Amino acid sequence: MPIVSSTYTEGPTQIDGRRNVKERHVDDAGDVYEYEWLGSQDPTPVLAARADVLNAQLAERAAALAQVAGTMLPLTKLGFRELFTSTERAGIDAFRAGLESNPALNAAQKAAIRTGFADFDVAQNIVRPFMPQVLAMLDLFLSLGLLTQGRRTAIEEAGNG
Amino acid sequence: MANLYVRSTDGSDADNGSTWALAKATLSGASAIDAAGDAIYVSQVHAESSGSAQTIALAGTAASPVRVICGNDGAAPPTAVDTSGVITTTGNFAISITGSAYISGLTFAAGTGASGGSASLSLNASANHFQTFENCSFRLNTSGSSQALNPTSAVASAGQSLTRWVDCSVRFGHAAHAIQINRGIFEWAGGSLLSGGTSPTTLLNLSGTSNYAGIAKISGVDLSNASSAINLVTGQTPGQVVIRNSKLPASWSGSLFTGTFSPGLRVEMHNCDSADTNYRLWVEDYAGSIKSETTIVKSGGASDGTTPLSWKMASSANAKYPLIPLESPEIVKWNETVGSAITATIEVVTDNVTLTDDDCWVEVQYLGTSGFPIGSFVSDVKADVLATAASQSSSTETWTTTGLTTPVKQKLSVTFTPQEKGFLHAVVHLAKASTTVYVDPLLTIT
Repeated sequence: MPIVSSTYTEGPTQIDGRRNVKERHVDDAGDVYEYEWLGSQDPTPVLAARADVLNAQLAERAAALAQVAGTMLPLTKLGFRELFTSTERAGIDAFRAGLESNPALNAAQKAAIRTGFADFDVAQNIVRPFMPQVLAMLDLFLSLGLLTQGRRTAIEEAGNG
Repeated sequence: MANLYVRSTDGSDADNGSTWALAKATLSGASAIDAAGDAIYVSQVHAESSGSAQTIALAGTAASPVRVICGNDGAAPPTAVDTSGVITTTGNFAISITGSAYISGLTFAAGTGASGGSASLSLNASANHFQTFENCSFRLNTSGSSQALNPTSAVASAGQSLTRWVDCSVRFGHAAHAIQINRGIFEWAGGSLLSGGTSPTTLLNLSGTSNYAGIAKISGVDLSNASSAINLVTGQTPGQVVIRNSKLPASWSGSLFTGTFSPGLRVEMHNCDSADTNYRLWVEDYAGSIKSETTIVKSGGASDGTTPLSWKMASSANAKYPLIPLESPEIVKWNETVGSAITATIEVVTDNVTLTDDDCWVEVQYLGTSGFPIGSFVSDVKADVLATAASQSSSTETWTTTGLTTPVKQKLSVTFTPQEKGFLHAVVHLAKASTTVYVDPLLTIT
């Protein structure tokens, strides 16, 4: 958002030789910055210096905005669950309830899944974009047939959108 | 009420501070054992330097303040004040002073050698206290940008506080530093912005973290060491700032106020300049600005004794009748007439704007009740909010109108009968948005 125009107007010369100078700076978004001062000096270098200062501040603000662009509030855990359909939630809940006796899973798989659910239980919220462990759980549900590939993609996009 | 002694050269915070020989090493050490009403004497050779935050929690109350006085340690208690005591933190460490106290002759320097962190200076940092500093110096030595000099409490939960600086100086280490008025009342009478350090972009900041109104009154301060572009006030919270009789930097091109005005925020600068003038006025308000003018003036009108002058009142888009007029400073005149009608008149001129009585009017406060000093008010605003507006009276007075394409001369006039001698207080109100009116600030009585 650099300054694209710097102009000034002068009031009548005062009795001591000074006059009021009103600066008007416009950035490329159309925002106007005005300053007024009483003086006898040449306004041109003052305008140039002011534009430099404004450009530096505008660049700093633009950089800060770019740094935080895309920032999203985290989801509540309920909000995260509501990304799933009721049928999907019921299926996942049932899977979790029968985890320890599931004959299709070995001990290492059970331990990993148990830890994933425990992490969900103690988490305060679900950070967005989704962290790798959340995406891993979605992949697990896909591999177990609790989600289709299309639903897995839709949930990730809805969560991160 | 005890006397306590502080001297860094040979003191120890393990001593009881009762004599110079048993002096405390630090002011915070003395503040740990002081009682309301105590006097703490700091030696002229005192130069404490701490690599930790310094909380100077004085036990003074409004009823029984503590006195902290830098004095010559040739006598106990000292018989001569001094101004060479220094309290410094090195690194990112703040200095905080709480409790009601009079403090004299000390330099407080926070964050020496630091480049960030939290090396702020916070005075009067607790609720409902008075602090007066005389011949003290406050220095933010850190080059980190986020620090501030807080003369009044920055704590949202704290009550109001009053802090006075008398002949005190300040110095900053980063352009983003400022005197931050968070809430409460700050008065600065005499002193200067020191040379060295870094001139702040803005001197006073009313954007306190607690968003409470602040009041600042600054008089007789030499700001000539500031950069020519320094802005005097910024902020968005309600507040009142008056700066008067102060010296500005040469070729000053800064602003009196930068930021977004909130209702209730007004900044006034009276008689401040780098040149040898005695009439300069600048007011910034939610409803517009007022500046002194020495070219567009009325013949035989107001002057400072030598230079004819007027006030250029320029309303902002926010001005509107009847709620938000731009109000001039008071024009005050003594009245000797009692029991007879008098007429008070203010002359104005515009560039091709014929003002009506809901655009611009004068209100005069006078003593209209015999036996009591109670003010009465009279104005030439239209009769009520539903009345049809009418043009104010035209005038035949002579003005210098350089730069005005179509001068329109009018007068604002009220007639009333004082019942007691006393001051008349006249205030011009400009409620027409985005309009410029030149006001002759001479109240003529006929």
